[in-house]
Amino acid sequence: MTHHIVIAGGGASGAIMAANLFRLGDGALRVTLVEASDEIGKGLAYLTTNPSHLFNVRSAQLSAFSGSPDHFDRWLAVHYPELTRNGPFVPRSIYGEYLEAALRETAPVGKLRIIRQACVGMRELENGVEVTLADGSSLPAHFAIVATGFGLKPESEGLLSNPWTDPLPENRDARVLVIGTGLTMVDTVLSLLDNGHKGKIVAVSRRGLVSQRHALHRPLQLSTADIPLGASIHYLSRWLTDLVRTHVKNGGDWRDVMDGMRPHIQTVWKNLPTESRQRFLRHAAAFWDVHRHRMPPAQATRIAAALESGQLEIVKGRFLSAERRGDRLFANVMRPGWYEPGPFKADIIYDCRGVRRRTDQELKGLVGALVESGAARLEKLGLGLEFDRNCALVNANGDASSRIFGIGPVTLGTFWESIAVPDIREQARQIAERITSGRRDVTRNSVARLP
Amino acid sequence: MLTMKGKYGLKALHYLSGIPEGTVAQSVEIAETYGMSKKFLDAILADLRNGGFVETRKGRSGGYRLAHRPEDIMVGHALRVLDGPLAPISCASRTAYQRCSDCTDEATCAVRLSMLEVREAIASVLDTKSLADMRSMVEAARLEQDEFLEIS
Repeated sequence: MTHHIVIAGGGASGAIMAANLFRLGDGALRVTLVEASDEIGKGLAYLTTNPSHLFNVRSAQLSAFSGSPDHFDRWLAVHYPELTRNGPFVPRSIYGEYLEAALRETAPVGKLRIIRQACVGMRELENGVEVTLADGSSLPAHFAIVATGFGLKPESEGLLSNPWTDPLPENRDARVLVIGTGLTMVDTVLSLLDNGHKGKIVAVSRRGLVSQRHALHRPLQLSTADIPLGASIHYLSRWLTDLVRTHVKNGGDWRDVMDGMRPHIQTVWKNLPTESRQRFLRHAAAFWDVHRHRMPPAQATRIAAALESGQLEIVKGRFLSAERRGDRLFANVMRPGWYEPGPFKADIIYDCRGVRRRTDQELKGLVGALVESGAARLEKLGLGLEFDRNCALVNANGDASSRIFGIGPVTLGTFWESIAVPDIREQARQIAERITSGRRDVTRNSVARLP
Repeated sequence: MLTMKGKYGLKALHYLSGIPEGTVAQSVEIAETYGMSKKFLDAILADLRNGGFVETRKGRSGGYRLAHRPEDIMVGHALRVLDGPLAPISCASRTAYQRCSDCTDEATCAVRLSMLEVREAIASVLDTKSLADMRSMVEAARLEQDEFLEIS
């Protein structure tokens, strides 16, 4: 039987999912990609056209298929040979084109359909899934996959500008305030510099930490047997710092340890007690992120130069609100040791805050609809939807669906790390194997569930 | 390697998984039950507390209890806090690594390569066995023993 699979969201996660389904499915399936925008394979991170916006993962890790790790590098060598000469970190702007090529290569004629609409609901039936679209029509499917990304709308909110979609300031001397000091801040500052910006740029975040620099290293070969799973975050972080200290003393690099942890992060997160997860989010996540998600050397050098010249300044403080007085903007920022917020003058304010800790906002779109209908629920900390370890959606009663799955940033709340291509393609392989292996997998799963 | 410390620690956790919810156990009673030295046991319980597996209540009615439900504490997880990385031989661990004194070529050592596999097998057994599973194993063994005694 030919299975029909609907993927909600045609960004990088959705495209990688579709390509893996075709590659592992022997042509015996049809896929419908539901994507409201005109772009396929270009989600939040890949919409950029600026060549200074680089991947922070090396090109050797960017293949859409875990089964053929050099797929991206081979495509790169044919289509952009000049880029391979600039080191392993390539611009993100070409990735959408690669994913389209990967789809063309894997999808048999007539098996891939793209619908330019938003997906607004999914209902699991006995033999399939009913997927509803924004115009009220519905699609019958055997399986459905939620690939809606971060759920951030590419629109500006109030007085804050969106770094990905709003134009750069025409006035090159404008005073710019950036909220957040993560990698989005780095991209925004590089865009401003590329545009010939002369004015002062101030970036503010609670801890004022900036991402570390990538360097050559050899990841430590860690096994789960080495890592203290299930222990408190206090114990785990001391173990990690001790390990780094010993490794550095023996002539290694701290990056070896961070990248050695990488394959185990989902397992560590899954086994971390709930109160330890909360502590981690509150106290350690910012430190973790700047060591884990690093800047390519080319970017790090430019940021360091901007800091050196004083054009860019990093300030510690908590952003509270923004207001307009006359033609200027003022951001209220609570700085450490201050009893009341001080106003920061700016001509433009970019919102470059992280995607992970915005739990206050109401859930929009498909994710909100799934929670409301009881087809999904939030995981314990409210970071996002809950999935089981096979990426199956967990409903309001705590049961994992056998027909609705999730991939990419939408699964962030459950897996902690599911943003980078190496993680997403691994999820895609798992889901594709589960769907295409059919009955065999049912027995394997029931065995796995025995105590 | 399962040391004396690991063995006693697991026995103490097993004891704590059996006390009624909301109560605590004093280290004296655990030490007496298994015939361990109280001083050694206190050091072990302090390590388990550090790792976040047991909690203490201070004062006259104080004592130890599990920090999570017995179903949520895996034997392998507690053992890593007690004995370090799960490894049958010290060169089979990255983090508590020690080279054997008589080793000539580690990369092709037959024993080490086999023990690396054993290590993964240990982890897959002990990381899925909770304190609750351990209790039911004990119950089952007890039943079997009773039956055996009745027959003979």
